[in-house]
Amino acid sequence: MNDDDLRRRLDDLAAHAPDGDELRRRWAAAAPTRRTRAVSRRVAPVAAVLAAAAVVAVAAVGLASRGGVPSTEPPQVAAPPSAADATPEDDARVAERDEAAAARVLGAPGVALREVGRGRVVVSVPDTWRWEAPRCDEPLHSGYFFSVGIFKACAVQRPPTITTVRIDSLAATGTTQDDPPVDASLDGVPYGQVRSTVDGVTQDVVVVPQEDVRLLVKGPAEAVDVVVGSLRLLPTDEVAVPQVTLGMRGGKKGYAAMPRPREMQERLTRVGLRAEVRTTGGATLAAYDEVRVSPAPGTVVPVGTVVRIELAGS
Amino acid sequence: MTDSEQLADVDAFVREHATWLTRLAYLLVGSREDALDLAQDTCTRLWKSWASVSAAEDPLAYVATIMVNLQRSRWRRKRLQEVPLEPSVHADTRDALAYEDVDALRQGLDALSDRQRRAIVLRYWVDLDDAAIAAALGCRPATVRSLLSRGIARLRQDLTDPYEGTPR
Repeated sequence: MNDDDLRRRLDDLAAHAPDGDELRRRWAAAAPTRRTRAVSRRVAPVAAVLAAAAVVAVAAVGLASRGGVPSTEPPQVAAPPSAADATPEDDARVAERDEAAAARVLGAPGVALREVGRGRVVVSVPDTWRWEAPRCDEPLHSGYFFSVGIFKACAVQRPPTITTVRIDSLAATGTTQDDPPVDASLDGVPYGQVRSTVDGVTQDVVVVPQEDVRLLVKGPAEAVDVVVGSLRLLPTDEVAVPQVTLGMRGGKKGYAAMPRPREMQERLTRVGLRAEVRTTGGATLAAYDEVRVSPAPGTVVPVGTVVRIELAGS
Repeated sequence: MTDSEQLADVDAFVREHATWLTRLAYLLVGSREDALDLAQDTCTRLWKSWASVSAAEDPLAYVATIMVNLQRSRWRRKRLQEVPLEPSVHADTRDALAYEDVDALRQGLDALSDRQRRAIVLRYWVDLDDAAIAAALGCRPATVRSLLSRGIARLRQDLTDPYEGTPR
């Protein structure tokens, strides 16, 4: 590997960085703060109290709408996805055009779609969406993520234009009052779906109890329609890679515990995948700082695929 | 220069170099979310230090120094985290390296010490010379040469296919 080769490799790696537009958006969002410069020490405590009050108010509105108080926009039940609308003229070109349109709606024009999910329940998302653990259970950019219902409560302002897919295990989180009744059928498997709108953000909750899956899709209504409209069951020879690093017991308050490697392996073998665990950077099976999973959780793979779990040390 | 003029200049700089900033941050920290945080913090810092940035011979090199110093102070604490690895995450990398190679470089960089990684990124991606890297890292140029030499050797070791060149 010579110097030019290293430069080229660094360029390729850097291309996987977040889009510069995301930074531009953040920078623009913070513009009012820059215009007023820093808050003075005398004003800061007052501002902090006002900000806290605003957070409480927003939370109260959210809780009220979740608690059954009628909102200005009543929940609607969207039509279940169906293949019945497909016409004989559907062909690859139509599918490509539909995919391109869907990618545009999801804010990723020109990007191919792929499926992500849990078990056999999947939805389509842009290929560029990556999974990253959100802070405070609230993502800051479009993507998908897993939850076992454990997160540290804090105030994070969700950007109004992003679209997110949260993937839950019903067994881990238990049923909630937001869960819809199971009154529809997805390829013969019972499922339920309900829509609500809070603070201008559309939210669809889809539950498939037989597959132990809840999907929570949030974002602009058109984008939520696209994602939920792509809902389908995988054939029996395919499965989504499960998340393996969020434990349900033993974590500190607000944090999910890290399961032991044996449990990670068991989660994979339970869905028909094979695990290859290895350690790098001085890590051992008992002591490690990072867990790298490839293919990433949520990715659709053939049953029997080897999933690499790499435990990395410092 | 008035405040509003300065603000306009900084805005223009951030808009023009946003992609460069996020990419540099990503090379330094590895996580996309942390990279965005670091890039944003760097923008805030460069706004406050705009007089120095705009007067610098190479403003981007100056900003790279700001970012490296911010990373050093903010990212010392190690966090337990899952790093999902996925193929083909970017549509514009058709001619780029295979995913396995990119993944290998990420792991190779992560395996380096923080100072070695910073030195390599500043040399081979930002194209700074020894003196500028030394100023950014707060060390002597000789130390930079040592960091680069050892870091490159470690990377070569990690990135070389063990079966490559094996006699049949």
